[in-house]
Amino acid sequence: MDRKIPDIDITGWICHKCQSPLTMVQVNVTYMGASFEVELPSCAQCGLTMIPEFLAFGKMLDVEKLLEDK
Amino acid sequence: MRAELLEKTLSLCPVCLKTLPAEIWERGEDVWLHRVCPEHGPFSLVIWRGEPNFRTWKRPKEPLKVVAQTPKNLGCPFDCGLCPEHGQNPCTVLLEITQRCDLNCPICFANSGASERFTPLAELVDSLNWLRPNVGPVVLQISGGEPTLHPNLPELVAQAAKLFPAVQLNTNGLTLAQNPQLAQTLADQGLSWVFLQFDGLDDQIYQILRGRPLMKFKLAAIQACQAANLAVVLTPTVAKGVNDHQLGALVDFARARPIIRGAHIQPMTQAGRYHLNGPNFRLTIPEILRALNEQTGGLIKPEQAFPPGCEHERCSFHLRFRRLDDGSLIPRAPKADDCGCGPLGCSPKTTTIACPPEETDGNRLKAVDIIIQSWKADAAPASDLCPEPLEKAQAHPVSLDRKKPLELKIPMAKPKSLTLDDFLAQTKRETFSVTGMAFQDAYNMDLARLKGCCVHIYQAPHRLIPFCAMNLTSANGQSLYRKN
Repeated sequence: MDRKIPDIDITGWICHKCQSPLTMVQVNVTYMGASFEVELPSCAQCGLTMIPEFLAFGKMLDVEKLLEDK
Repeated sequence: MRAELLEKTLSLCPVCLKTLPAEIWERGEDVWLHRVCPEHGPFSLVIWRGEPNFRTWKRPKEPLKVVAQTPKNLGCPFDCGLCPEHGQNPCTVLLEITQRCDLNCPICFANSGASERFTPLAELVDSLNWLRPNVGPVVLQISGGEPTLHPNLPELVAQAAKLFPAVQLNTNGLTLAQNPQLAQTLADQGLSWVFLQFDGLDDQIYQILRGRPLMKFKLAAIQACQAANLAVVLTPTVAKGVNDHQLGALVDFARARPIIRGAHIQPMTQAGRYHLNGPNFRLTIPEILRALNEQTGGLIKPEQAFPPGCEHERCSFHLRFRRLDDGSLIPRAPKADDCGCGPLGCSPKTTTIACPPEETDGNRLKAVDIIIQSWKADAAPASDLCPEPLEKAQAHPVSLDRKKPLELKIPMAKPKSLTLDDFLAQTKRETFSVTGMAFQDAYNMDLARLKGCCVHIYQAPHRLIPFCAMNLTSANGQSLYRKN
């Protein structure tokens, strides 16, 4: 099953804290008791994961709207 | 018992429809609307009974300046509409395409009958073309009479679907039951969901409220919609002593079937044609919420209910859930406002700062979004569409007081791990709502509520009449806006 989100370009992105380059990793996102898997840019050292703006204001917001009374 | 004055407002004399100053009094658990007509005397009616408490059921709004189509002349409700005194634009507009109906219900707010004409398609399309730029992206409800009798319904749905984000069909279901292919045709033309008159789970109820047994037609209509993957919202008209004991069973029936997206409960009003005898039929919003709690074994809790963000706070309630495949309902997270108030809206109990009135037009457009999220069906996998035979519906035990929720096995596909797109699609399919709208009549009319109305009926040429003004009928049967 394809879990890649198209249009994520991580070229040049580094973790501010660790100064390590971000790599695409499989992330299990849990939100209000429901979970799904998605590939997101993440710091190989500290594991901090970035949610790109288009995703945060797009499908992620759709998820929030469905689960909350937003 | 001590009585306390809570609010002053305006109401009407139910006999002559004269505008009267009115007062809202609390006495014990009951809240009364009281006014005195100089000609016809005093009128008092309970408008709120018990918990959730009237005082905490608040959601203040800033009245909107509407684009008026008619001038203020005699004052509300005689100048619709909309006149400059109205405080909200519509989130839903009803287009009545015929007054003809294949039922002759003892109760019918529209007083529909057998021999009415069909509005020609060209005239209806003109109406749609005027409405879209004047009311914005609202939910368009095609109504009647019985709209499925109109020979051009599919063409009209197609035109409406091009202009509006959602098209809702208000129907008694008889045509869909007898001609199941129509459901597929309407779905193909862009119909978003069916608002199905569905008052309960036995024929006795239909005999009283609709004048004939209809249960088999209701089940067949749902079957037709299911085959077309067309979402259904059950819309019971509820009268005390007639079908209020079946609210829990109705919710159980609905949540067991993924194609049914919710129940929209409408306590009965005395408007239009009204030929029911018997004890007081009236139910208030808190009574319905408590009945839902008792009859679902606590599955639906009054404290999960919200007052509306679009219309006046006392006109409706809503509960939205995720429906899981074991039948459990997970409430959507309550909204926390800036003032810290929770699911019951703003109240002195929940905040120490003043609650700001909400922004009315923003809430209206948000309401349209929420309605669509709640009620529109997304294409479901085939495995979601094979529930138990609908005939088994009546086998659900009908209980007045259930100790615990009825356990169900709901057929919904659930892969072990989900992508974001899968998750979005599944969560949309899992959305289930229990909502209710308390329409007003001449006996309980509060003009402050009427001015906040956002469900409007289109009246040619170029008028919008708030729903409860359009259907307002005096005690002797005189209508303000419908032909008598």
